Amino acid sequence: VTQASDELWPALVGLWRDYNLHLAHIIAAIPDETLRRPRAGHSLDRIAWQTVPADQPAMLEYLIGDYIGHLQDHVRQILALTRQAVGDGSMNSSIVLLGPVSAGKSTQGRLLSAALGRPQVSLDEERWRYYREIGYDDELAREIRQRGGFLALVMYWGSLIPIQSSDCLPNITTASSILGLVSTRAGRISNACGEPLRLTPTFFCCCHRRIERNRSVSSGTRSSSAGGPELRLQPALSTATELLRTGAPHDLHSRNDA
Amino acid sequence: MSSLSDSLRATVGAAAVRLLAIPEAETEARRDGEWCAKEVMGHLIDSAANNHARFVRAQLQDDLVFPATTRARGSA
Repeated sequence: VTQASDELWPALVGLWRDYNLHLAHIIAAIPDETLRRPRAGHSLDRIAWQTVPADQPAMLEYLIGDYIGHLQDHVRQILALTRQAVGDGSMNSSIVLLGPVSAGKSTQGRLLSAALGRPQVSLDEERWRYYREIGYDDELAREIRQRGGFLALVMYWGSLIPIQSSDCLPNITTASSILGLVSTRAGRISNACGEPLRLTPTFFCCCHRRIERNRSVSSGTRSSSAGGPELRLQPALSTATELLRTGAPHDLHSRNDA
Repeated sequence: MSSLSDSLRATVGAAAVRLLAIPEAETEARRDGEWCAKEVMGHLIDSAANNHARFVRAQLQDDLVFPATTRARGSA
C-alpha cells in the first residue's frame, strides 16, 4: 500500500507515466503466441478488474487489455474528482511553447490543441504587430533579404531586440534574435495572466544554449535580474507530446515559423 | 502485439498532460470517504508494479495464476 499523499503530484504522475511507458515496451516485445495462448489455469476470476470465470480459459492479451481498461477508468475518476472540486481546473492555465525557428512549437501546439481541446494562438501574428509598432521597415527587410539571404534578415530581426530588452523577462531577452522577441511577448502575456511560463525540455535545451551563449557574450553589460515570470519545466508535457507526435507528420523543417 | 502497447502509450501520454494540469491542492481534496486523486494515483502505481510482475511471469509459466494484491477496491 502506497503512502501517496506525502509525494508531490507531478512526481507521482511522472512516475506513473514512465512506469507505464516501460510496460508498453515489455508488452510490445511479447510474441503473439504467448499473448493469445488460452490458459486453462488462471486466477483472473479474483485478480482481474473485469473478471473471467475460473472455468473458462484466459489469455495474457485479455489480462493486459484489462489492465489498460482499469487504468483508463481511474484516470477518468481522477479527472471527474478534480473537476468536481473547482470547475474544470485543467482548462484554466495557459501553456506557452517557446523555441527557436523549426523547434516544433507549432507542431506541438497543434497536437496539444487537439489532445486538450484548447485553442492554439500563434505569437507570429503578435510579432508582426509588434514590428510595426517599433518601426519595422518592410522595404529595408526586403532589400536585406535579397542581398544577404534569410540569415541576414534574421539578423535584422535580431537588431530590433535591444529596443524591448527592458521589458519583463530580462534573462530570456538576452537570447538571440527571434527567440528573444517571442519570449518577451510570451513573457508579457504570462505576466498579464499572472501565470508562469512553461517550457518543454526540448525547447528549453535550445533556449538554454542560446541564453548561455548570449550571457557569456554580454556578461557585465546586462544585469541578469531574477525578476520576470518563473520558468517552469514540464518534462511530462514534452514526453506526452512526443508520444502524441508519433504517427503525425514530421514537418518541423518545412515551415518558416518563429 | 503492438496495438495494446500503442494503446497504453497513447492513453498514458494524453492522460499525463491533463493530469499534470491539476493543481497540487486539488489532488489532496477528499470528498466523504472517497479516495483523493493522489491516492488513486498511488493505487495506479501499485497496479503498474503488480502487473509488471504478472506480464513478465506470464511469459515464463503455463498458467495465469498470480497472487492477489492487498487492495480490495478496483483490483487489477
